[in-house]
Amino acid sequence: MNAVTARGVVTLTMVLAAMTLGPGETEASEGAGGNGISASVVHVQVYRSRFDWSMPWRQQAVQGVLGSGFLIGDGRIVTNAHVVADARQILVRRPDQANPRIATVEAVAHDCDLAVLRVDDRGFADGLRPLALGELPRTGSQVLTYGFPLGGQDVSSTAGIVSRVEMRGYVHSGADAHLVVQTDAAINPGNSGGPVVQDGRVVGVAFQGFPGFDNMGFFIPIPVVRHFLEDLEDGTYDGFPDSGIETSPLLSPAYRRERGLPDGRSGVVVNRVVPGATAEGIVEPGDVLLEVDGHTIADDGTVAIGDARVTFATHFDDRQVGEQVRLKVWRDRRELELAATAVRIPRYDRLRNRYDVGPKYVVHAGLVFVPLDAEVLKMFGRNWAQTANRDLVWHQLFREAERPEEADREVIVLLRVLRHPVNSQMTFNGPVAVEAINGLPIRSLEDVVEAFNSGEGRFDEIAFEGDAGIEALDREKARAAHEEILQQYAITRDRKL
Amino acid sequence: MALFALAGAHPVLAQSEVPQGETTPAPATAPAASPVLNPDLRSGIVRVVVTGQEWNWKTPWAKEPPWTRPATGLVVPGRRILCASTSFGNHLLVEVQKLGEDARTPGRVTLNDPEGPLALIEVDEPGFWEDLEPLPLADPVPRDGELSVLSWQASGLLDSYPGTVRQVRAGRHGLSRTHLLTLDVATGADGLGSSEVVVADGSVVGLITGRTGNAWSAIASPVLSHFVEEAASGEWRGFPRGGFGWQNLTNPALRESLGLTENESGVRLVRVLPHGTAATALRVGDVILEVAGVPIDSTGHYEHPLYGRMLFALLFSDGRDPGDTVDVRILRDGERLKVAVPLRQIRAEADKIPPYMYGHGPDYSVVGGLIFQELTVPYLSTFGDWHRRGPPRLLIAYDRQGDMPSPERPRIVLLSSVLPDAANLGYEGVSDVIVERVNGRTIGSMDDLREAFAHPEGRFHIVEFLPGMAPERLVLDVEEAKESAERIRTAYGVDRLDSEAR
Repeated sequence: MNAVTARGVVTLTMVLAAMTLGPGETEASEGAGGNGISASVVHVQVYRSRFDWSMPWRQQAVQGVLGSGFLIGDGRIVTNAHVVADARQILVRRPDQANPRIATVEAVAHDCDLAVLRVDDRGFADGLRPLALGELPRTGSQVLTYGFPLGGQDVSSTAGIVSRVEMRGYVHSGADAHLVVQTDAAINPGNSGGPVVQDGRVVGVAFQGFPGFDNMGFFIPIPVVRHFLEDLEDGTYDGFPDSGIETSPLLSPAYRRERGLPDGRSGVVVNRVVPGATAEGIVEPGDVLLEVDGHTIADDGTVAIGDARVTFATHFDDRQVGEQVRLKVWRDRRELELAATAVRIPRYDRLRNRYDVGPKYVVHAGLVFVPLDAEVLKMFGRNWAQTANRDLVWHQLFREAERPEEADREVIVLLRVLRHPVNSQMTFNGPVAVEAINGLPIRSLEDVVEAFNSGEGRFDEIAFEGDAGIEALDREKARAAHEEILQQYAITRDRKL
Repeated sequence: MALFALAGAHPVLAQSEVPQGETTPAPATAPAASPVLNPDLRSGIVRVVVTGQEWNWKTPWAKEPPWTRPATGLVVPGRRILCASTSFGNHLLVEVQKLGEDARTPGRVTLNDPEGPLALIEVDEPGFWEDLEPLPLADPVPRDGELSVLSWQASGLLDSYPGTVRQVRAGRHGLSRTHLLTLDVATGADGLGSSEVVVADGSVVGLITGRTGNAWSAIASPVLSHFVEEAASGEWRGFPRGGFGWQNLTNPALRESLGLTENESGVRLVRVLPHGTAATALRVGDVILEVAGVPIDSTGHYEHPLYGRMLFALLFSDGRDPGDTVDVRILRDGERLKVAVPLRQIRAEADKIPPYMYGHGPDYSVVGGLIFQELTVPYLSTFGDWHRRGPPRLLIAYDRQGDMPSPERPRIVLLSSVLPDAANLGYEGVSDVIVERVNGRTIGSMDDLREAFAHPEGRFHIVEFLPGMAPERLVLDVEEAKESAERIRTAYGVDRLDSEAR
């Protein structure tokens, strides 16, 4: 997992707010499938229902979403993960036909914003030509984008040039960065998932843009798309490996001399290797990372890709989980060849926006407990790193570096208190980290359940982190009130573990 | 994690020129001023004109543009003038002016305690005191009823604005952390906060320090009397303060689980500052049942015989002096104990992250163009609305009162920013990172830092930061850093590369 999410970037689905767009309203002629690119670009209409992290037992109202997709063979359709995230109904329509068909998600990768759909109707793709995948386009070369900006009946295409290639945050996950290509071809809401084409081959998938910047759209380039499709070949999606190497640029001549790095060699200095990382136990703090898979790393941490320079993390992206990564480091004033098996760090899911899977929670006597993750912190607003409970921010952003031995620890948050006479005079000033319940350290929701079940005295005692102190429930009264509270607050299940 | 949506999390934000919490009076444009002022009052009130200048904590060798602000002074016995010093800041010149006269007479601030904040000014010119008489200070202050607020017009006239007592409570003023007896005033007057005198029934009842919600808050007259009397008797010992954090015990189940009986109430300590009053005898987890014989309720209030429900922090400061002893009844581990707690004041400098600094500038050092200084609230204030805008890790350090990164180190030292130079090539963008070690030595103060830079490891200075704060480690060439000194002095106008330099 690498890099930073730029603020202000948005994904390019079209949310149907007041728009009425009755599928099949018009009688478009069902002509023969076209032979051009356009014919293989499909209109994707999704009805989704997001989970509600602030009230984790419920889902939000149905929302309509419009996007695009394209055929890649076997009746499979590629689109963006954000088009189909939390989908409850997916309708795919050929531009030459009026009636949409129901599609299902074959695979989805929220970390690189891609998904593969399959249409149940076997004849759906008849007469259509699957689009072939191309290569990373060169800066300055021309590309065409295809899709359904603002919905619409027909495929719209626009031309532009490749402005630059870079590593950039993918806003859908909020925590991942991969290669992106910036283009001045118009990419607007509804274009999401549509193909970007050069010389008759797909070179990317349109996915995000900056509102207010007309000529600045972004597409997912083909190396990322291929990584996704190849990952799927064994039937499961594993995701991108995490190098886990925290580095700093080596632009300081003094630092280079201190490391004894000879002139003509370049690289970045390793500050830390995080627990559970690909490079754990292989790369060491103080090493200068010289090469990844034979690619020379410059002092600023970039590598050459075609005519572009992007951060070296791109070469970890090239690998599938389980593959070998070859590393060259400078250690003790000599070169060292190393190899590591690429792994993914599961705990980083806590930093990502969540889709498709609902929140885990436990409600006990009106106290709502959830694990700390990005969705919890987002409730504090965009500037949560400055406005949320400081203990929660520390766990989310700083604990891994400062207390690596606790890197994998799960933090349980008291999210809400649903008021009832048994708890109504408890002090609750907003979400707070739970340290222990009935003397049992709380490291998972299962611990919460066990702690409440195993308490022995008259009271359930809850200890919080930081200055929030402690609280208590009268155990028998709390148990007696539990069902009533669930009913009053319309909660059908008191937990999802 | 190198990562995160913190692209904008360490921004260089607009700077605030005024230290946080300081009240800068707006021009008085308030309605309905009554020109009628009881002539007896005029002899006890003077205009105080303060000129001062703050340091720029981003460029700690430099100062901000100077300012001049008026305030109201109260003539007190012993030929002194008492002022709420909320807006005094780092004052350079204090002048006094009698009502209706143009001439300004120089004064000397002989005592200024920001924990009031209150100051005493002496005037050496004997003629100045002619016709001046101390006004009576009310004790007690009224809990309700009408009053007048005396505020200077831009023209130099003193206006009297009608108002009413909103409430009497325990409050904090300016950047002070000590709870003092406070009078909240509802009035139509605007732009107050410069020590305006509040009068009821011919007596002074308070000096206004700033706004709280939709009322103006004044330090109540009993506090003023106490300050003036103690100061007159010789050494001012300061305002004592509890120095603890506590939680409410409103939840009956919690009270019972702690072993409180139905007739008992109190609050539970969740934090005890190591250098405060509480640390002498109290600890986290203690339930405070009574202070000075007065029972404390489950939200930390007590019944004041004159003023009604008051926050119990006031019991450690109101009318008391450091060195006094207060009896505190506590419940600890199921046992009821009475402990005698000797009161202490807490000097700002004793805090790990000092809340204000007056009389001297930042303690800083520039090494090879890297600016090092201690983390202080004045520094955080350069981020504007810093509680919501400061760098997240520094906000965490502040909220945890310096528990982190390590309780043993008296101060947190920052690399606050970099003056780009050949000696620091590659580090230009580094800012607001917490320094852990320099040349292998742990850094808990600027003196540690100076000592560590005096002992490099061979040819290099090695600076290590709190893990997770990029770049985590950096290297300077000792010779290059030395050679850079003259360049940096010239290029950035830094006359002194170290605040301790002679």
